[in-house]
Amino acid sequence: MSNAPILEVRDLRVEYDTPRGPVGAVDGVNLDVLPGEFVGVVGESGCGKSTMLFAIAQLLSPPASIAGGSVVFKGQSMVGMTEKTLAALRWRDYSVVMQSAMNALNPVTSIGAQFRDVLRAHGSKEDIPQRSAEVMRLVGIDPVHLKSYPHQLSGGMRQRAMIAMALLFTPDLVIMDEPTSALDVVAQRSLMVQIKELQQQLGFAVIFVTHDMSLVSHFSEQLLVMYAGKVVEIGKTRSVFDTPAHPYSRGLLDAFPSIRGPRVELLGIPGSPPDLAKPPTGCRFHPRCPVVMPECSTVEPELYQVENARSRCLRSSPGFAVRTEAPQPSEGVIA
Amino acid sequence: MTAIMVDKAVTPTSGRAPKGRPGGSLLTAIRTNRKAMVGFVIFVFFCVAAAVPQLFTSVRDPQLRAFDVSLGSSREHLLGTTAFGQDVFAQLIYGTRQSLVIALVAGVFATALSVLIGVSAGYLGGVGDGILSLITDVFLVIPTFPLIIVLATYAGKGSLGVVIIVLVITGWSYGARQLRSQTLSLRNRDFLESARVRGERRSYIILVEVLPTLTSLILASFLGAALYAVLTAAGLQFLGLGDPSSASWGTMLYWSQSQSALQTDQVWWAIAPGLCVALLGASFALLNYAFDEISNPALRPVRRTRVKRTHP
Amino acid sequence: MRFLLKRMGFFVLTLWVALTLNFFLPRLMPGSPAEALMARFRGKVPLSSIKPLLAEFGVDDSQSLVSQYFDYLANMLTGNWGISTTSLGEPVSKMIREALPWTLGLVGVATILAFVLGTLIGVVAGWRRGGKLDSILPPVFVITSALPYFWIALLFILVFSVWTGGWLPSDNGYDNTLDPGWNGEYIGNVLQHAILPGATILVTSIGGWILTMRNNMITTLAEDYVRMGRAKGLPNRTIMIGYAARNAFLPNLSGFAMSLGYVISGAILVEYVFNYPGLGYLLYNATINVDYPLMQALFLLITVAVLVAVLVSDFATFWLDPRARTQG
Repeated sequence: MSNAPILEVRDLRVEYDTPRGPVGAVDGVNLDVLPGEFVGVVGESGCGKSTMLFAIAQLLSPPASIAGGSVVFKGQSMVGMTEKTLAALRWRDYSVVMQSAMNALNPVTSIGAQFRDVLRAHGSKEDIPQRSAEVMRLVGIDPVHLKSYPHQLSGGMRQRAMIAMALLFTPDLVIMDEPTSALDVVAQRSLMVQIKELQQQLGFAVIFVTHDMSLVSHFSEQLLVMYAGKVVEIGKTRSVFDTPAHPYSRGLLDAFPSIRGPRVELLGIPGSPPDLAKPPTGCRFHPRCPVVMPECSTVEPELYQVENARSRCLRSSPGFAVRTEAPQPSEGVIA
Repeated sequence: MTAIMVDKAVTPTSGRAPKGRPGGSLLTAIRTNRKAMVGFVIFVFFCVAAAVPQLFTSVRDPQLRAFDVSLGSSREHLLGTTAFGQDVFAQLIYGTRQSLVIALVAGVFATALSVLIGVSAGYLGGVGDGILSLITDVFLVIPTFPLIIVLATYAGKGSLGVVIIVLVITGWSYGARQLRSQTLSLRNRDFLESARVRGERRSYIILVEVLPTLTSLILASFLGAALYAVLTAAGLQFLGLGDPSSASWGTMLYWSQSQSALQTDQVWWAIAPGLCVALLGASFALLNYAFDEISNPALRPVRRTRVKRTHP
Repeated sequence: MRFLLKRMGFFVLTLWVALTLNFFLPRLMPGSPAEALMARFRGKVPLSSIKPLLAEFGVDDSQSLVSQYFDYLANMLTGNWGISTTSLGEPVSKMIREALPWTLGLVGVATILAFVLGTLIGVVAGWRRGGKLDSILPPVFVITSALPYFWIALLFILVFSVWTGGWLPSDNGYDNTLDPGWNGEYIGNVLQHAILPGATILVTSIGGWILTMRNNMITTLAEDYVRMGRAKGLPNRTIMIGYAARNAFLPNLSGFAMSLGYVISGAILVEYVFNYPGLGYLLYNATINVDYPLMQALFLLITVAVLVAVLVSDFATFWLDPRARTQG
């Protein structure tokens, strides 16, 4: 694995054009993805993680649009690229796996036909039936199901078929938007394991969006926590997961108690996410923060380095001495 | 509720259970949507003409052959006179009443029937649904106009009541179908489940919980039924199956056609009644379409924004 | 399979309902067919022949109602439709057979054309959301689809026939001075006579198709699988047709069949205005002359046509939508 990132996102901003004026859905996201790296993105519903994902993949549709920042993939700047140039990159170099395969697969054509149309669209020299069967076997589905229609497969199979489709060209990056949310817990885990195996086998990088922090933390190398359109913590998974610096990350983790650890009180995060048309002043999390300080409502925190991670919290800023006020990190380490 | 839209666009009403809108926001909705505004204005104009025809014309009895025949348009007779010496404009104004009455009465009753059968079918499910749906489909498929012609002939031409009854019988099925499918999709929503768990009677649930959610659809059904009634009634009268001595737009058309008005240069007599039918029909259609847009934001006119291409 | 059987069952059931309605209506209304016939024929036909004439119409008081009913059913289904009272003796089936091709040619072609064109325009209009086309089209077509057929017919006659001094004919199916036959002059004349009535049907009905297809497209374009199509880098045409239109079109298909009843009503009016010798005009004349046998047969025929269309669209849906094949 080389050390040059294949994806560099700088100051990415996405806006929704509403009758009341533009609303910022994603505000200043910075992210580097190394080749073969598994990056997890977690956050509540509506925090902007899916929007950010689609922005990176250049798949936004009106009224959403990229309002600023850059996305550089394999050295090429994606924002501002014409559809034609983009089309050449699509699927070959990066592909997308969506949340619900039932909705993401064309209901009136067979799975095989949907593999075929993308293979043909990119002028693939490979033998189409052979390649289709190959990727199906990769995810553990009998290639006979290429003839099936999406509604004829089970939920788990459909999801894996989508992943198979995403791997048709063995891309360098696969962007996944909550691919396990529609599945039951057992299927979730087996799918995750499979994705990780494929990743190690084929070497592609993954950006994995989910609201389930504990699920993704087993598999990711880098972890990103988003809140109200901003990245509030980012860094090596072990850091963020074991010793979360941001109160929000801590809150998320506390919501998932460990099965093996001692019994702890289940703590949620009181309140609800803010209206992004009128976000709170200063730190966006301050109205719900258990350790809020007076300056939090006036000063907007940057991402401050905390060991192997960065946290958007004034308590993590250099020069903030009293770090011991932060409650103890919860158990969350699974062997 | 955050202002963020989820990445999926809003699906038409089947996806959510909005509680019935209070009347205030309905009027706001009309004011902001241009199409609705136009339709509403036209409709109001016709209502006024039906209620107080004296405002628009000095003629008291439009059927009275009081004037010279086949006059062209002049200041005295805005649209000229018929081949029988009646003022065309006066006839139009007085005729509004009948057309409006037909549209509204038939519309209301047809919609009531649609709601009764459609919602019951959707909510009851099982055998009840099966039977009601079958009846609905049968009525839907049987071609209505020939049926109406046959009915109108057999029942004796002319009576307004017969026309309305016939329109109601043939006009309820389309709305019933739509209401049924909407009720079906609402059936398992949480707010209904909670009502059931509370132990509410079925009739209560239908009346108090389900119906308000369906208001926009019921309104749309009414507008559709009214439109259908206007056009079909006019068509019937045009063919001579209405009451030939009454004052209505359709009968005007009948007489003008029988007197070959088009070919004998009595243009207004031939065209104007149809224009009124068209306008009234258009007002219903516009209101209907506008309500469609209001309840399904995905259909609203979209300004095509050039995708902002920013540079790194 | 079960889906198809269910639809066929529906076809048969509705047909039976229509037939039964047709049978009982005259018997339920005030007066009786016998009286009507007698009144009509008084003086022209001796009373003794009225009874057998009535029997032809299925009105035979000597038989029980039930056996009358079954005779009637048998007659209707075997094409034994009796004699028209208008024409005093011409078999109904012959009159219908003569009028049928005119209606099929005019109404059939115009309606299908309107559907196909309307759908195509709707696909493009829905695809190009927000363009100039999209802001003009909807209001315009909302209005045109609500206009009465006969009024448009009158307008067209006024503009293209009266004001142009007869450039496009407004009467009949063809010039009566010509002899019908498979020659260029006749056919050309027929086509000329078909332009205005055909245009009327086309203009009035196309609006509805454009609008429903456009709205369906817009709803479909918001679906995830369309976004997937974009994500896969497929060419726009493939997405527009293979992903969006193919899905958006399905509800339209059944809508088409259902709306045929309405199209036929419009066609009746159009034929009337243009004196076009089709089934609609025939029905009108039958109504005026209180010609029960003719009316009954026509009503039956029109019902069958609509039902067949519904069945065809059901088959088409079955063919196009894989989900329908596995439904019960």
